[in-house]
Amino acid sequence: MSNARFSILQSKAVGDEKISNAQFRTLAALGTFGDKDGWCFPKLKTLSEILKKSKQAISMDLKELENLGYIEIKHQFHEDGSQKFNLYRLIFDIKQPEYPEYPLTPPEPGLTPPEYPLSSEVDGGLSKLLNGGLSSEVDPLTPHINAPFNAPLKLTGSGSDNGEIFKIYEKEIGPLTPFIADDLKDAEQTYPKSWIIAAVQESARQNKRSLKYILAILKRWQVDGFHSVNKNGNGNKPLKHETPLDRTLAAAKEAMQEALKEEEQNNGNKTRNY
Amino acid sequence: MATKPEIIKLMTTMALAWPKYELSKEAFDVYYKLLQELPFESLEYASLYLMANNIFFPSISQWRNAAINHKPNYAETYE
Repeated sequence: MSNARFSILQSKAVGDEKISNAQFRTLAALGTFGDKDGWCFPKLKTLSEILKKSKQAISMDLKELENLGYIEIKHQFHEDGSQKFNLYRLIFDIKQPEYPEYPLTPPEPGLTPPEYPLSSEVDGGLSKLLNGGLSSEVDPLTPHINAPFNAPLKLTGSGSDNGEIFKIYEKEIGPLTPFIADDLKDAEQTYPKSWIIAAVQESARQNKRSLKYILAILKRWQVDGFHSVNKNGNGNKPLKHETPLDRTLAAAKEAMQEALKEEEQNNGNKTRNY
Repeated sequence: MATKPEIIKLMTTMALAWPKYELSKEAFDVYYKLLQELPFESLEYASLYLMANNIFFPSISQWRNAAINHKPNYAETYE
């Protein structure tokens, strides 16, 4: 979870009957990630861990919140067309008042620029912005409160390091959805990039075109080493599924061996006693 | 009196009749502890009866009751 102590969201959302409690919680969770301008880009996985819900459920909540006008979702794409992480913008609860038309001609020297009338509902930060600049007077403790407008997000870092993986995934497996992109990004934190690419190609070669299979290959390589084969010695076939009967027979074999050992010991003790 | 290998053998045979029922090593121990006082012949006959009649893998009490109540009728066999 983000380290934010507060979550900022529209006050209208508190009493809005159109949004469910779950959607409200999703909005509040998103609010903890927002910067002073309302921009945030948390992973669906992070939100699902916070809210203890599936990524699909959160995705549906976010779409509904977008429809209701609480947030705006901006989809991002790489140069090769694959999808990057989504950007979310929390739309703040401040309506821009209707201003009188600004005089097109520059004011005559000696005259002060007109003061814009603001309603009492509007935050003081807006009047500061309109009447003399806000950026230099942002309160460091409560930056959200002085941020009436959603400024464009300035991204730090490229975030496109996994473009090659996405490209190969789309080529070998199929279309890339945000969920798959998230999971591949997570996998990149655990496994080397070359492994992921090799696993994608391996799954395509075996005609098992699914992310689950790719992750299983990676997990196996992590345990047994890179490019290791299945325990049955055939890399093209998955391990045979164990049935309850197989496990019962294995347990019976183990129990039988122990029972025979016990019997032998008992017989030995008896002969010693004689 | 049935020995542990004998009971394990019977239980393994019964496991084939209910292949979806999973038995652990501990289950074999518990079954042995509570059935060891009964003769092997009775248990074997009861296991055949249970395999023919029961829908589910028998509990210890079912097996005990079957072993006590459904003893083989040797008189009929020799007629």
